[in-house]
Amino acid sequence: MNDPMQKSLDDLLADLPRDMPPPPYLWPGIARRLPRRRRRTNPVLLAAAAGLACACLASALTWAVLHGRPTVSATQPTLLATQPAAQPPATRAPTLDEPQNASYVAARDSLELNFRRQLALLDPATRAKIEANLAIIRQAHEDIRKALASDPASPVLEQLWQSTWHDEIDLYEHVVQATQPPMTRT
Amino acid sequence: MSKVHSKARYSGWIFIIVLAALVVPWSLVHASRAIHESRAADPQGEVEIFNLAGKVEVQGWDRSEVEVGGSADDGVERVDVSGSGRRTSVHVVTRSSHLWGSDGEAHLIVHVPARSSLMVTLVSSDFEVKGVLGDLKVQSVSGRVSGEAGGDVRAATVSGNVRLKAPGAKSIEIRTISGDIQLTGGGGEADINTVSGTVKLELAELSNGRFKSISGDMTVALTLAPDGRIESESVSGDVALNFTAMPAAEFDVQSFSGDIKNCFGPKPTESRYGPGSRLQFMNGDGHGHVRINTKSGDARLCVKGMTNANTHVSALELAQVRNVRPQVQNVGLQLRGVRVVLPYVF
Repeated sequence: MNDPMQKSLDDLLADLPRDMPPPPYLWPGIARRLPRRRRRTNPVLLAAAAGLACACLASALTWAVLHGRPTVSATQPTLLATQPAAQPPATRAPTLDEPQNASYVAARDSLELNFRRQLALLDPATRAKIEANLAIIRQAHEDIRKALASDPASPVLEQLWQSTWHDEIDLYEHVVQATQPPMTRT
Repeated sequence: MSKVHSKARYSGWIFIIVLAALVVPWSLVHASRAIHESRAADPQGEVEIFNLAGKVEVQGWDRSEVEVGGSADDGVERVDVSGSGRRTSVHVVTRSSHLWGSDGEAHLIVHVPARSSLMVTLVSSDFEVKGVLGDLKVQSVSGRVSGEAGGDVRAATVSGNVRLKAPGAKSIEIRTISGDIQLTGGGGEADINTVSGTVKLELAELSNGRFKSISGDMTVALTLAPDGRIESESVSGDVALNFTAMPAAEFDVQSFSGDIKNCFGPKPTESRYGPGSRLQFMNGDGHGHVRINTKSGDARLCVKGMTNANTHVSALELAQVRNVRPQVQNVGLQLRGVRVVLPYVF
């Protein structure tokens, strides 16, 4: 109990520092061996984020539907009143306008950028033809939009309206596909 | 005065001699050299050909061998003929090639086993095929594609014209940007897509057809399979479908500002308040579907032997139909079958 050697050892141990950080060169190796602790996400926060995302999506969809639907002008109530229901409302497409959600717009912009890049590789005559055709599509789109504004219940115009923006996307895709480097095309 | 005149005459001669001195070596540099390569090949294998510029002529023969002849200019480094398994590859290697052009032109005459299928990649090189029974897949930028294909056809060009006969094709897919498309024969499934090229097709019985153009006019002669489906779209190009026999199908034709002309069926309904017209009716048993959609292009539907547009079915026309389809008992059915199913009011 009264061993002077033992006392001295205790004293020595007591003098040692409580914490000793490992030398810097050891830390990367230690860090690699440490098990990765998964961050726990608060389920309430997760549910709130999901709810918010759903609300945003629903709002965007509603906005797109309302925005895409042709507006009925005050001068046309009689016209609409005389229009027989060509199709039950349930079978009509909710919106025929080009989607405006962020992912679609981003994809479309990317495709258009690619189209412009590939277009620059073509000879001027072909390029001019493609530009002319793009102008034809856009003109048709504008003409149909105007006609639809004055005759919003026309199913023909609605369908033509829808197919016109498809035409532009199809043209982009067509040009991009046709101008892929020869050996990489599938 | 005469001294000045003779000086001018001499300078003219000097110019011609200098020009000749420049042109002769240049033409020697570009003188063509003969090519002759051959390799044993699978009689039903796949032959892959790659050429940037010039022309490729492919002919089928009864030997199990691929033979490459022809000539190439100095820009062509070599013509590799290699193979592995069922595939034989003919690759024209140029000294300096860039993606959309080349300094090396090769005119190849390639003999392949008749039952081979072909996979051809070209840039500005023209392509011609005959006597090959297998499928054809060809891609070109500005080169023309022509000849007769024995099997299915898949062709894509930017500005190159496609002019093919494909009597045995059951599947046809042709895409061009500004190249014209002319195809004779073939049925089953057809997918034709052009931006501004003119399309002329003479097809056999079609079960599934899709024809699309922006400004190119399309004229398609076809027989509709009993439950066939045809979809045709254009923006400003005209679309004409000429059936070889009265099709039993449901028709839906619509146009924004183009004319709809039909030599059978009812008259199209025009929008009451603005542009836009539609023709929708069912003919016969109506298992098939035919849909045409144009913006400013005209749409035309007709049957071989019937020429009057926008007329209701008359006794005379039905007599003509009877000549196309010699079932006398069908006349009454046709008469009952032609009915308007869409009284859309525009």
